[in-house]
Amino acid sequence: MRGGLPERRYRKLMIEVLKGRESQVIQTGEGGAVELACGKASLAGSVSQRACVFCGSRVVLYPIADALHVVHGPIGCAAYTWDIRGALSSGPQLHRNSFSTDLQEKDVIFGGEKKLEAALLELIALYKPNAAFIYSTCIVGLIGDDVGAICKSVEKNAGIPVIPVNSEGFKGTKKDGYKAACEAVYRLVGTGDISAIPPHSINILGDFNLAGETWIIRDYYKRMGISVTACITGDARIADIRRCHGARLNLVQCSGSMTHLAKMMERDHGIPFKRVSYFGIEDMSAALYEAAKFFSDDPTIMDRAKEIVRGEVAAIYPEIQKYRDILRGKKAAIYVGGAFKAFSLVRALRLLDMETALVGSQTGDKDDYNELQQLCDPGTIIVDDSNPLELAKFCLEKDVDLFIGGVKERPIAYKLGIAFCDHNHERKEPLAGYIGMLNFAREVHRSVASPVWNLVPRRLNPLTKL
Amino acid sequence: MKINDNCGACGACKEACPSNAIRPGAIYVIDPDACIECGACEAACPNAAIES
Repeated sequence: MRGGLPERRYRKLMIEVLKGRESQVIQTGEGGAVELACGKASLAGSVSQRACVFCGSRVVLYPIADALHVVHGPIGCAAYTWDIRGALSSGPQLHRNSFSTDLQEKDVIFGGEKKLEAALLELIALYKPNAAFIYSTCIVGLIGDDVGAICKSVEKNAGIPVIPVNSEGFKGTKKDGYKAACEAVYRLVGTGDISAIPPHSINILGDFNLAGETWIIRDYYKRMGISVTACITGDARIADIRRCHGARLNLVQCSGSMTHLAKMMERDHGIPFKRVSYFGIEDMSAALYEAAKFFSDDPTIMDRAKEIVRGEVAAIYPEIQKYRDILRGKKAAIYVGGAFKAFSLVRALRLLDMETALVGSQTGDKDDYNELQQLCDPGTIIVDDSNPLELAKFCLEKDVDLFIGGVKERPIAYKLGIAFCDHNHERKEPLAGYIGMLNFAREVHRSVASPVWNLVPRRLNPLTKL
Repeated sequence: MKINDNCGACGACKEACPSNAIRPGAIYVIDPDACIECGACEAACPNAAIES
């Protein structure tokens, strides 16, 4: 049935996986690590959970609050990414708008350049932003508008950076969109004055201030005596990004989106970067210690880090232990965007004594999946770039009690009668930091312990399968 | 952090550890790589066997 695959890859899997996707699904603990195919374009017809290149760029740049975000394309591209994340701003709210050139039939035939130029000049005069990002969509790539040239001419007229984002939707996977976003941001890096930046300063890369998480993380570092020059892109300002090359260290959280930017900054400005995560007690503490270790010239930073870890853990841990007794042995499925977040979630669930039955990501790379295989217990299913049918079938087969994912996974979970925890764009509750771990435990407990899951069809009548 | 000879091997520290850094034995041992120095074990230990 599944010819050409090593036997152990599928031996215990009861369900059928599309032929072209077999190499992207494995089960751990059957012999050594198996290489998982990843980083490739989604299989046509599989209805991948991934978004397009444009959406990848849009979500990464979205939280830059004092910039104009103009989507050059048909209105749908702007409508579906309008206010797409719960990224909060402490000041301007310009990012919450989605501006579009609304390309129509006539523009597709005769070109949309004039329309773009007129829209840009009008919007810049109206909103007086500090920079503008112009996103290319599929249509623009096909009709061949010279977005770069328009940006250059408007930049000259308006006197602010007008940056094209080369995110034509058909050009690759969502990951290519992240790369395009990094390249767009990088045009600003190194253009500001860095004389006022203190010696112990870092950049937070890949935190998007969902539900105010950046503020929580910033506060920890501030208490340690480390100043944060820029957060890219959570609650970001153009002026901060311009001077972020003055920081001494980059801490990259969302590895999928921001590693490219970190590597460029390392190459051109000599700023080293470290991968961290702010989810869960272990990873949050490691992130603080990582920064403290880097600034070893001032030992008081490490002392203060230890003090913060002690105080914060003592404050949240008794309540978490209470939930742990209730949640012990429950099974969870995880499907998130970046693999690094998946690591943290596996560890966080372990802290709650829960098992991970299924874990997957949209944009993980080979190293990520190897690490994931080592981290997970035997019998865990690992998937790359999955689709609704696969996820649903695996959830039923493993009989999971909780699904952790984003907006596209929510209906899958609820239709199957599985508790759901949102760990993506739209979450309204901060899940980062120590307080975030407590919020996570509370939310998981509230969802999983609800008696309603005893009344769903798959529990009342186990024969009701897909 | 370290566990000294006062350890009674009761397992309270292992139960209390949020980073799963404590291994059981005649005397329990803290894995320094996994330890986040939060002090949860110190608070849980009935024998005051844990040194910072």
